Amino acid sequence: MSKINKIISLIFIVIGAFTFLWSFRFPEATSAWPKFFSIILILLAVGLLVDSLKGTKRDESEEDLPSLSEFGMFAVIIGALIVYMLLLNIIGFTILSLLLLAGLLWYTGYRNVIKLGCISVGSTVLITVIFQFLLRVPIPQGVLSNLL
Amino acid sequence: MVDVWLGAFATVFTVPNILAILLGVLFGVFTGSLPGLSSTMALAILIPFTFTMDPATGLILLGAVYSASVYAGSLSAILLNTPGTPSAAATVLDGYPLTRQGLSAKAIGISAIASGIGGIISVIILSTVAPFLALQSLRFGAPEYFALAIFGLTIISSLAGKNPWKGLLAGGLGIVIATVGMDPIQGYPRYTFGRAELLEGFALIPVLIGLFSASQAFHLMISSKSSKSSGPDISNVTGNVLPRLKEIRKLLPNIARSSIIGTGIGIIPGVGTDPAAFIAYNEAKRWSKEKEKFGKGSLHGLAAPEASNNAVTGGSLIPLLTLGIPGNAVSAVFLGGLLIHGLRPGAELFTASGDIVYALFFSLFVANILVIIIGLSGARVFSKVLVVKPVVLGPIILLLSIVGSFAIGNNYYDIWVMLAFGVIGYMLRKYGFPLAPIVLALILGPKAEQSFSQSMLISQNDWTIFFTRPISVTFLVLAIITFITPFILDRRAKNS
Repeated sequence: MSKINKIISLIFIVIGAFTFLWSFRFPEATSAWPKFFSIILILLAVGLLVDSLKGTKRDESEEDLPSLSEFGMFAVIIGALIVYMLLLNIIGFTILSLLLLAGLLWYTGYRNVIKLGCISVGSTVLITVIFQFLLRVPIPQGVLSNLL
Repeated sequence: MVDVWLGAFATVFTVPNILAILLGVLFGVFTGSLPGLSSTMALAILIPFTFTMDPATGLILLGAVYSASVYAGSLSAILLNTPGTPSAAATVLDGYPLTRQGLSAKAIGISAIASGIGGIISVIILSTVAPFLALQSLRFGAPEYFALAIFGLTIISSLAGKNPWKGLLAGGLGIVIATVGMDPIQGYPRYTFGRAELLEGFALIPVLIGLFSASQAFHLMISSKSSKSSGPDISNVTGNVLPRLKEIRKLLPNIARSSIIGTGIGIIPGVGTDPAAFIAYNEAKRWSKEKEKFGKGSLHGLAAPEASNNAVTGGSLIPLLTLGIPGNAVSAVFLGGLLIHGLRPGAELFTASGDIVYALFFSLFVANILVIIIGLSGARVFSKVLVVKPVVLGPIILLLSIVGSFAIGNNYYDIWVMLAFGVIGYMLRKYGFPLAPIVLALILGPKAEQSFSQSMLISQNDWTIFFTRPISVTFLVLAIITFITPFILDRRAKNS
């Protein structure tokens, strides 16, 4: 965990430094609070960094940098979600969600095709019925907007 | 007062609200019993459902889920030797040994009875203490609210977990994120980068759904692909569900004591359900004449944590409803449920919206009775629920998170916010950062800033205003105590 703690500390220091420097653009009365807490964030990140450099073992798990396959899997899921979001307004919620559910279930290792189909169709239809017809949320239906 | 309770009775006993309690308890039992799904996630994902409901029905639904999910954590603790929620960690100690002795049905029955009674006692305390405390908030001005917010923020040190640096960093990140948007006094846009969507800051509900639900969905999907396990090894539910009257009578003093312990701990922000369960377990052992049976299937050892962790639910609502201080992640999400209906904690909640609050109290009472009934009657069905594989749940939770975030404001921007916080939540959780401090800071940070600025305006920049008012000083002293206590305990534990 020590290596990842050091990396995370540095990320927090960068975030704190950015918010601190950016706050100079604000009028003085409104910049005091973000400046103060940006400094606190940097100090806490330095604290974690020093603690990690000392080699103090505080964490429950020993998890370190993500494995390449795990990172790749996370990237694929996020990529699928970005594509889903970009197409949501064009293709519509019901069709896209069905594809997303089936795709994610298959990708995460669910291989029973009949059950996979039932879960995808059942969940999507149920969610659509609850939100669109019972809770009256104007869900974007894209190509199905005239039908649903 | 009688009128208020009669009104609450009339509100709760309507078809939609009874249905809300029933569905809430069933959903709570489902999510609570599955290891990997938490009460916090269950509530976060349900908030969008409550958005278009009548405020009373929405809160009744959330309250029922809260009570039932804490109870249901015991089911997998008893049957699988794995707590369904962290609050059921102490239940494993005597729950699973009972299963190994072929008494799983009796264990589930006692767990349901103890949980239900624990919840009911805490609701009684909640409904008597909360209105009085809420009235006290009428005496608060800006300096008191600032001191109160600081007190609330210091709870972060208790929520920090094993590594205090990470908990504090998560809190610091939350406060910095909370500064995005117009500042509370002058309305000057900060960190908005010219984007109109950021002027109001990040909306609380998409952030909550992202941090607690989407991040959980990512975790379930990735971990289920990484692990090749064929599913849990579930013990069959055997024996009689209903304990004998003599057994219940013997357990009652222990259940009552544990319930009071749980409620008391629930009131203290930052402590939470899991320590409450362990403290009640230790007390039950200390008072017991059969100490040697603890850890080997003692009914007292099972009833104590179950009564205590459910009693925390009522206790934790006291600081939340009266002062707006969420003492743990679940109550922070519950606050989100209040805010989307325009309900603000404090005296006004009990006067202007008294009908809703008392209906919530009464519904919690009914929900806990339902927990007992469902716990006793559904014991044999629960083992079937536990076979649901996490791999199936991940994508469904993700889809619910997407549609739920959209439902609040009917815009795509909220989905992006939810996904961004889902990614942040997943990464932070993976590397041991607790998520509750972020939410606490997001809620209390703007309150602290606003009341600080107002106090400075009133006092013409005289800092002593915070130290010359008794309530303000009391909260600041409490803040110092709350902040340093976990560090002192940590040091003491290391030394011993």
